Amino acid sequence: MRPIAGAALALALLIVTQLVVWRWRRPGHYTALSVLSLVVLMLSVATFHALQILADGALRFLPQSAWDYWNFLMLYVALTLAYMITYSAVQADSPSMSILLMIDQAGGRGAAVPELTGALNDQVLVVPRLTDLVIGRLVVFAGDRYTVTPNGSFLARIYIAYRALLKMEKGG
Amino acid sequence: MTLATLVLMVAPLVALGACIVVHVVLSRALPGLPRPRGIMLSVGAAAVGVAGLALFGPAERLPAGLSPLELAAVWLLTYILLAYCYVIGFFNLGESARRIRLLIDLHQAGRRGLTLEEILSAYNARMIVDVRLQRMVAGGQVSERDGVYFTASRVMLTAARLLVWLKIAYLGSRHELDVRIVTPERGPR
Repeated sequence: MRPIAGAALALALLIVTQLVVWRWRRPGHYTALSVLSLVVLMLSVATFHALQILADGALRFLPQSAWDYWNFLMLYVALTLAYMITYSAVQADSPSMSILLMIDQAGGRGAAVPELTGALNDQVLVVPRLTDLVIGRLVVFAGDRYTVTPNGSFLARIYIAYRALLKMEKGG
Repeated sequence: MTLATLVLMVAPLVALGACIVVHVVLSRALPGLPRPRGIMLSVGAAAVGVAGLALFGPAERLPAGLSPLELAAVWLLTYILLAYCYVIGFFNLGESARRIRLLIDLHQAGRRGLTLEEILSAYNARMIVDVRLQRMVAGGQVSERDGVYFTASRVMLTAARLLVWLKIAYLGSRHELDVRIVTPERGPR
């Protein structure tokens, strides 16, 4: 269980560090979180190694051999990727989650579609996502028109090909 | 080190590849299969494979140090997390992400691009709400009576509440519109 304990400790360190740093200054893109996860990885490996030397290898819950560290690395990368994906869900308001919360708030009388679409309109559900695409340089906005950039086209092609491979229609 | 040893060392990644292949095959062969079931079957098939490999596979090819049971736990956990990344971070984006849908619409519009009105004529809030209500009724999360929707299951509702709690912890606000960091100079809000 050494790789699991090591990866869990490293992830906990990443979350605590992110909460502290993001309170002080919140970056608007994922590069900062990727860099932070890399720094935490290096710090964790160095700390585990130092602790094992100090304890003469007695810390049985931390990685010891190269094989332990390899499994720890794979698990930490998977954990970090899953964490980043979950964090992206925290950043943007999910329409499904918003609908569920609105229906729950309506209680026994329930919620009708006009009530839902009154709050969840184009300015809430569509325009912020277009703004995200512009910020991410996947789309440019000029002369009242949105146009896809080469990077945006590349990403769109990947999803078009993938959906075609699955024989599925356009999502959304 | 042989090729077989190298493949064994990255067993969770190989399992992820197998999961994607099974998912593609199932989606193409059984188009009527409910999508969540297709995902469960593909993720489950590769999970059984990677656990079986750790427990009964040629472990002597690998460096010593972890028992087969420990190896199964580590590989299975790593694989499940990678499968989560595939399902939530890739498949689900193509399935329901508004950004990807908008990007595909704009890509298909070509160099001319689209105005906001043109975009909204093909994809708008009403469509987004309708599709999600249909999915949630089909999934048993909400029920519908005479055009009015009610909570039917508290599982997703609990997840939604957890997400609100995480938003407050990370962003200090319940809604993204309260905390947007950067606004493009010329994009409409």
